[in-house]
Amino acid sequence: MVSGNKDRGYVSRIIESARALRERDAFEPASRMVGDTISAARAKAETRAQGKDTRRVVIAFGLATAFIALLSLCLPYRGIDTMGSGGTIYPLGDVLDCYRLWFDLTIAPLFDNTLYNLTTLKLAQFSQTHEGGMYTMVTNRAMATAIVAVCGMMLAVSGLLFQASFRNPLATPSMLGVSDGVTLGCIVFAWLGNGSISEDPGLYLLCVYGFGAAAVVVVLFLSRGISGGARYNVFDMLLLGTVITQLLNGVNAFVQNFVMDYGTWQLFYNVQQAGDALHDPLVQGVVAGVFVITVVPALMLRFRLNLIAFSNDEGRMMGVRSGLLRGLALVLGATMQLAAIASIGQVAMLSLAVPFLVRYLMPSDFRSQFLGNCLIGTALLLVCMIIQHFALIGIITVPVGTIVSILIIPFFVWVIALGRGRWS
Amino acid sequence: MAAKSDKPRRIKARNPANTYATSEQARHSARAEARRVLVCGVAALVLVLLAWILPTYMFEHSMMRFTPAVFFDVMAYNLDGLASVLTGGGGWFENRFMAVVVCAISGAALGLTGSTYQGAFNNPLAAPKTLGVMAGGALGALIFVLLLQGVGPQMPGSGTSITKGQADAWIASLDPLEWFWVNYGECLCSMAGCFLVVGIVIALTSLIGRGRMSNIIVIIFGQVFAGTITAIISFCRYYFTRDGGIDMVDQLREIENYTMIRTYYFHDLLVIVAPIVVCMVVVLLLRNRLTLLSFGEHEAASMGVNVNRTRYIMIAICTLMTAIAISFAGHVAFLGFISAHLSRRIVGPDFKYLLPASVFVGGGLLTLIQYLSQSGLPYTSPYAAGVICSIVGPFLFLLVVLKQRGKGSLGEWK
Repeated sequence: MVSGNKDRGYVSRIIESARALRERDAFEPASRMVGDTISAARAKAETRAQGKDTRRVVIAFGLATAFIALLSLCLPYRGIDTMGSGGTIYPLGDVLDCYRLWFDLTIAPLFDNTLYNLTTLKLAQFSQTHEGGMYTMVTNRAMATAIVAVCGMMLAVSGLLFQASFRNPLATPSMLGVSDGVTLGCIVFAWLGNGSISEDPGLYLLCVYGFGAAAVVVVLFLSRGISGGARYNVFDMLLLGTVITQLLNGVNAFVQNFVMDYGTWQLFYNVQQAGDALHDPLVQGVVAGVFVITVVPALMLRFRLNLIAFSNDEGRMMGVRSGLLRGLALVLGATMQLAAIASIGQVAMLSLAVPFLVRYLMPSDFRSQFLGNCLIGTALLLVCMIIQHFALIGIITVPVGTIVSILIIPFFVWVIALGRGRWS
Repeated sequence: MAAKSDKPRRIKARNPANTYATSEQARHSARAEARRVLVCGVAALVLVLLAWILPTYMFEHSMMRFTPAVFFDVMAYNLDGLASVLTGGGGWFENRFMAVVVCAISGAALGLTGSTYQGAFNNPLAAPKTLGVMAGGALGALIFVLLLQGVGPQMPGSGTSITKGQADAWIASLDPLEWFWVNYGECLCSMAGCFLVVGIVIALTSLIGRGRMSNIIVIIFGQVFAGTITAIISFCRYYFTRDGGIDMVDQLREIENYTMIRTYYFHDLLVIVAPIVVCMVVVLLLRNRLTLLSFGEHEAASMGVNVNRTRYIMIAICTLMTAIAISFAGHVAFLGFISAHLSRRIVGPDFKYLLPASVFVGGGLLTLIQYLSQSGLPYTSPYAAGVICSIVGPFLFLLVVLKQRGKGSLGEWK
């Protein structure tokens, strides 16, 4: 009697989780059990139709992202706090000329030595037909666009990893104190350094990465202690993360309101919004490095990561160490967000919103979610960067983070309204 | 059944969340919970009394002046003042008396709101600021500072110093409406901001859910709105500091960290305390529905609770309370969350006892923190009570949590 009950519980749980996953490739045994309830043929047809839909959505979003990236490339680069003129757009032809020149100057000489002698001539030709400084502006903008695209991708994917491993749509890396830790790091940098990232990028990276990582480590350590050694309770972590975030918030507010004078506060705000970090080769290099060591493993593990939806016990029953996978996902996610915030400022809102939106647009298996998040995160952050180019109040450019959080609201409402029939 | 009552399960007296084998034990536990609520109440009263009579700013002067004799002298002096106020004599102590009362009531309102939201949304992460109340208050303050400051009667010769007699004469010359605006203008704006943001969040959520309010959507909307408003305010601050609006920044900062630094009069008591007390009574009368809600939405609906209506009522009342508390007493961020969890740890999950307990715990805690901020200890400032709360609160929470270390997930949530 008792064992029968247990069995029934086990089977129904598997069916539930399999339905929640809707992933039939990564999980053979569960799909075979689901086969008892849903006819196999229908399931197959559904999967195929879904796959076609997914492909169509992905292609549409990919095209949109490419278009937005192209648009972003047509603008000159302007940092947050420079008093440049806002609103300039270069014609596409001129921009393409710039890239041709760049190719001629850097790539072509590698293959053809005779071209090398022509570089000065080409530069002279270019500067006769185009306005001064355009070449630098355009190439800088290209670098900035690439970094922003990478950051958007990392932010969205980090949100996805966290929401998947906590099984809670509220979870973001900032819940573990990442963004508040970074803010504390910025405060320390505003005190220690001379306030300009480009003059002391090493110290900036040390402060920001150090404090961000320290916050996450403290939360993980404490929650492990509270959940009792070997057990690894996700819920405790979320609650403790909220508490530690609040603590960091309090310290930050105290220092900002009662310790700093306005001059230091200005420096701090500039640093917090990552004033000229995008421009700095060291920051760019670190972001690229982090991108390679985090997104690539996440991409390689995309089938396995479906399994973090199981709890530890369920995972163990099925021979998977889901605890290990989940830990890996958390570390990857936190690192991604840390790198993104360090290079473009307080944009943590993106990793809350984008995965939430993608869940309405794409099927719930990890692979499609991953793709969708990469595309939409990139597109959204690039759009914000384009808007930022025109958002000039007085002599001050509105930071990307502020634009992200303003833009998120209508987008959010629209997509939730789209999926309201499906909402449960 | 009989066999069970012969061998009653061992019950730890400290954990009322255990299941009880017999009705006798259940009754016993109810008595224990009621006793704990009573203890909380007495403790809160004692804290309020201490906040009245202990000397403030005691470490600010040199230690030479501060001897035990001075300490007791000041206490006796305060006690005299308190007696004079309580017997209707008025006097110099009135101001401090009011400040402590406002502080205790605001804390109680925030604590009650925290527990109520956690029950109504059935989510331990819910807190008074979940629906964006704090951000709304800050937005209202920003709008007041930017647009509405010059509206209404201005004090003659402001900027230059005028005597108290001149100021009194000017105030006496105002008509009642103008007087109200002069006194409560920025608080009203702040309150309007609170209602605006909470209203938008709730309206959007129920529009999207076709009348059904989803927990997760509410909380995410609240977070998103709060984040946006915080970012905008931060940018405005930056703009002002760059563009020579330092006094505006000062003002914004002052309104947000306004914690109990106002001079309170008797009419403030009517405007602040009376509505909050009424709201608290209503919430306490409806508290049994929250217990049913904690079974889950569908279960509560099947037991005859109109889930949505209960939630709307609770949100409306709690928003009113919180809006009054934070507009008049300053943004005390963490208090609702921490006092809800503390009181849950003390009396257990039954809302019949939990809500009164959280009233007392919240009130006592804010009184304590307010006193700490006025004690003149190094790095404290009377403006900083809200900030002190968000620095001290987490440690308190960790202390409570670490005590039950190794017992798995926090409490009986989930």
